[in-house]
Amino acid sequence: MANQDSRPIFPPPFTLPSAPIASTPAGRVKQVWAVGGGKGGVGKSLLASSLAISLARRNFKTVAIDLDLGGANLHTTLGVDLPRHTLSDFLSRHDHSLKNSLVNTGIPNLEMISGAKDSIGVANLPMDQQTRLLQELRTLDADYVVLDLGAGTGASTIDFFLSADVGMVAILPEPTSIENAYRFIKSAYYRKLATSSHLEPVAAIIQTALDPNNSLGIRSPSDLFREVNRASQEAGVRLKEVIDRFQPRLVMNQARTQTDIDVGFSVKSVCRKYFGIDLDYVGYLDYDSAVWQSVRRKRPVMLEFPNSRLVTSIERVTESLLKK
Amino acid sequence: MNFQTATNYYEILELTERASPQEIRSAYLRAKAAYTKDSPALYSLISREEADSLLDQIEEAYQILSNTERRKEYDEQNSLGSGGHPTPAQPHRIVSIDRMPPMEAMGNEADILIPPTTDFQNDLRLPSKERGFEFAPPASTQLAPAPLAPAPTAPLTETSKEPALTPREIEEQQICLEIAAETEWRGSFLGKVRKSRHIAIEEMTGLTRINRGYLNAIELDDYAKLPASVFVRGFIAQLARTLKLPAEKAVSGFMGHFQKWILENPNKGR
Repeated sequence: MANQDSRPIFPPPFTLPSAPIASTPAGRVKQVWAVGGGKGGVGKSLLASSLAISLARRNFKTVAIDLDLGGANLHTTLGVDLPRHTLSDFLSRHDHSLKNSLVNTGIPNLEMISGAKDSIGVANLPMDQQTRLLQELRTLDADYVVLDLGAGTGASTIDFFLSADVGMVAILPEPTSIENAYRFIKSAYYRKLATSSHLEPVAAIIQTALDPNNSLGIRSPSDLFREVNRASQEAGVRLKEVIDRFQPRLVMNQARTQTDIDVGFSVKSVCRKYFGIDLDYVGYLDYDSAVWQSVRRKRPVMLEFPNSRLVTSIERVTESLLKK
Repeated sequence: MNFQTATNYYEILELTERASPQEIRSAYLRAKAAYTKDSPALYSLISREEADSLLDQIEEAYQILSNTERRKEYDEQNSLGSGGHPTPAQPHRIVSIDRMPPMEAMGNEADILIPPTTDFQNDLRLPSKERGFEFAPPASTQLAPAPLAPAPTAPLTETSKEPALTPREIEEQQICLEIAAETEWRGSFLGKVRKSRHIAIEEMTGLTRINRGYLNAIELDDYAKLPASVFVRGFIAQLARTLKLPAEKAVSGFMGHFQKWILENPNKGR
């Protein structure tokens, strides 16, 4: 019997606006890429801004959106001064279109929407605003939209991650980063299961699993799989299908040695064993002092150090993602 | 911890069955690095005991797959690799739409469950005369209760002209019916099928290359004497194939009992 008293981590499930919205006549967005990772300082903004520039250089019309609500600084990594129009305008005024928050970056094919000048508490976005934002970003006049997500595993951050066509997890080869990345993946994993309409018959079991001390003894995804199968083999098949469709990408940042690069493969293997997911290790970014130098100059590393090893590795990651 | 138990050594090393020696070596080193004591990738998710258990499996898998002869032998035993894949007669790719769960978004063929009924029926229709197996009598000759009404006066059909079944044929028909109705797939049932096929346990050891002690333990459902799940799964699949039983069903059923026993006996070293 499921523990009905267990309190879910997340707000009640809703349908995540996802790829189908892209096919609406108003939108031309090919794909939304989201960069998350759980921990602060792992290079999410660097990766998001660099990928956006890399896409723009390939003549794809691109919009970078800072969704690190409460800690926005994507504009700085793109070399843009504090913008006059930001996401806050869109969130605070219902008659304000997301298009009106677009800011020119000075880089051909690249616009951005800044998350700066946000009000206190904006990090906890109400569900209606979150849904409105996710729907409108699909209607932007762009080939690619790149989302820079905030640290942590807040419900909005996880929903933004899950709604993207490509969800990237940025990590460093350090235990603290890996711990938070696993926490992030785990949150997204359970959120995806909890919001899947295919799994409604076993929703109570999934909600129970969200409580780490649940009475069913579900302590890991394999335990959940066992319990769902016990309840219904058909639901077990569906669960496996939903899990198979959860394929986050992994990017290792600040790789100094081959061992650091290999940690990405280890994380991939561990995720396969623990979550049953096929984490896609799309590449690594070399540790490069060009990063801190460009940050101090408030200039994008892609433009400031175009011949650096870091830029080469970013181009490689972009290429890898475009081939998928 | 393991989301799904690996079914063979290739899965343990996350390889395909056609992996080259170089790929096997690379996969082994990568797997060792992932689960070794100081691996940061384990942090907060995999316990030391779980990692040690995985390392044991990785070592064992590499010992077999890195040795050409042992790998060939293992592939043949488990119908793996380039030389021993299921013959066309084995319906592992058959898909029966009427057995599909009502899914809205179907994946590719690999996502589809193998339909047990189709699998089973095809297996039953594959008598291996070389081994003296006779299965699946035609529907017209299946055992049926005596008719309550007198037979019609119409001319005798071909069926009615058939000679009476021998005791052995009746026995085999009976076991076929039992197989069709089987849901539990305990080791004792596998033993019963083996005996009905008049295969001695020594002969079965030769056919399957499964250690006699393990065969006995399987047939007695003596789970404490069985090795790790990954090996037991292979044993059951091999036994089922040798006995021409629906391997998917047999493995699923037996492993269900075995896994339950493991959960109930966590201190038995698995």
